[in-house]
Amino acid sequence: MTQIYLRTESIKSEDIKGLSVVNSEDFNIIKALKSSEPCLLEGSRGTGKSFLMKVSEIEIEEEDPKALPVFVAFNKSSLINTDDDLQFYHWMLAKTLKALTNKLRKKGFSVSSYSANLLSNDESDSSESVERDLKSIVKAFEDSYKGQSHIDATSLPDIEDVKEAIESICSENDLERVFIFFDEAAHVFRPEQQRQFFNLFKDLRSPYIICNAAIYPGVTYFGESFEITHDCTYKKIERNIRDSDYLQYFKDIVFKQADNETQQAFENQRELFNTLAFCAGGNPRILLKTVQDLERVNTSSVNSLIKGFYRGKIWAEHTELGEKYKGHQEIIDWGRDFLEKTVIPTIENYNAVRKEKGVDESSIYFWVHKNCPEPVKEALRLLSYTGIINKLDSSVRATRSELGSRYEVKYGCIR
Amino acid sequence: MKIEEYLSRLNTESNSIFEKSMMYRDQLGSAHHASSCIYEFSENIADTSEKEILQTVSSQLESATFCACKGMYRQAFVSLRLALEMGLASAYFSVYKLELHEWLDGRGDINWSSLICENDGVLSSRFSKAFFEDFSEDMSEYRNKAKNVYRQLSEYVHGNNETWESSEIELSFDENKMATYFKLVKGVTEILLFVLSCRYLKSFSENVLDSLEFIPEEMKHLGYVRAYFGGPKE
Repeated sequence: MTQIYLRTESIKSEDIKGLSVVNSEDFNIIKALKSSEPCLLEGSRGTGKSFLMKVSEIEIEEEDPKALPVFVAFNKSSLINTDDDLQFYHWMLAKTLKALTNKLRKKGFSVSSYSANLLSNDESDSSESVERDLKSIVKAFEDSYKGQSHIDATSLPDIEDVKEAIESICSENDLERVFIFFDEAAHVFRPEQQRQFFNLFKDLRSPYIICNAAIYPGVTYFGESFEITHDCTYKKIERNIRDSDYLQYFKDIVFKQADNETQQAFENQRELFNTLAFCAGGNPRILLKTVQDLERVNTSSVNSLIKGFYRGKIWAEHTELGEKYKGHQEIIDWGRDFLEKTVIPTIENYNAVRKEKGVDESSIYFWVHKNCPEPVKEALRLLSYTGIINKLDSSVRATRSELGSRYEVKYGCIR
Repeated sequence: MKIEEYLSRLNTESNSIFEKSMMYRDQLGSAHHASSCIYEFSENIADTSEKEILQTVSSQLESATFCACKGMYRQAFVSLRLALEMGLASAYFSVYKLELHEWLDGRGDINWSSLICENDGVLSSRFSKAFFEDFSEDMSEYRNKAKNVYRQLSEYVHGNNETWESSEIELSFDENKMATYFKLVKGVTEILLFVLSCRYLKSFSENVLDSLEFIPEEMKHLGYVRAYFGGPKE
């Protein structure tokens, strides 16, 4: 088996387009990410948020010489440890502006001050001013959260200064807009920090700046000042296993990466590929991972892989979330128990009864009352984040006319 | 024709090539960004000699791009090869101090085969095991890349026959050579950032790592580099 990329980050930019498979849903998402409206893109882990953002970035670069896309990733290791909201806000701004500075340099809009000195001694060169202005703003922010001594926050540049600086960069360089892509931004933050992130997302809005961000279902806190319907276009990555193009779409994704031998084997045994594709429940990373881990393309290998992956690995990953979300361990474990001991056996039992009755249909759905306790909702949110379940809709009337939400369990998790 | 007039005509021709080269803003920006990254990386290295060598590498890269823009492609490839050799040498000298001092005194040379020696060079498992073991899995791939890029650059340095096209003796804009230059400068800087990251990343403080945003950005396709900077694991 050739190397299979499981994460967008592992793919070099120049290889992204060659691996890209775009259906009409994806096309609409890319269109929204390239539009002049800020966009939030929601999807569970591995559903392709980063990939679609990367494709959008590349297409903007190819199609629009007057636009500059900038990718920002807030890495966990450099995350500032502070309870001061303002400091955290400045930290995010500094990181964003540094990414912009690097991108300006990479696209030839500015030069590094050291090289201006290497080739000439003219330090008054106006072409340096872009980088210098941004650098001085970044430095002021960095000093404010890195330094030991207290710095008066009123002396720091504010968001309007930042927007003004970006606006002058645009006018000096004949740019009409800067797209900022926050990749999985809110993921690494605590709820209060997530609220600050969405404040920044909203504050940065200007005729020259368009923010886009990838977020997870369930575990994102927007804060009071951010209103999804007014402040952004909201897109969800949904790949329903009942879609007519579902199997072809996922076959194209896998065949872009699989070697010839694997492709031929799947062509000869399409039902095995289809089983793997349905089990992945619309998640490209999970499908690619299972294809990668498959020892041989035959029924026994596929069966044993499904058993090991959907009854073992996927749950281990969910349990490990407890490490990431300290304090949530109990709820995470409860959610797993609830699914493994109640929901899945009930669905399986329901399917078995229907099979006995000769009904050629099975279910992967369950419904939860809208008034269920908050910890239950939290547990379900965390299960959505891992992608084991997917919230389909809320305010759905169940058989007793009660209102609640409908969820789908990943197909592979049902025996 | 007087010498002044002759050189002046060459200069005019070179300037017209320069104008055409300016159409490659994206690629020129990327080349400049890469050399800036190496310079910024060097600023965090404690040893003055190693730091100075890397700063020379950075200026060689800038000179190479400038030569390419002026239509002096062979000179560009020569500078690029020098940048590759010196960049790898800075990492090599950081572990073989005796050879560093002999080189500084003018008693020793930079030896390419030592730099990329499979057992003791800067692209060997021995090297990665000493400084950042995770790099071992990619060492042989990058060693081959380095050999390949060096061989291509050497063809211009040694004047292999196929590099002397009819247009070579006159100054003229050459789209293919520009494309080759951009491909090779990308290769050289990728190899250098790989070796430098392997050699120094683990010796840098958190603050320094925090300032090196371009490393996870340029090398995020390597899972262990990404993870070292707190990014997502494979």
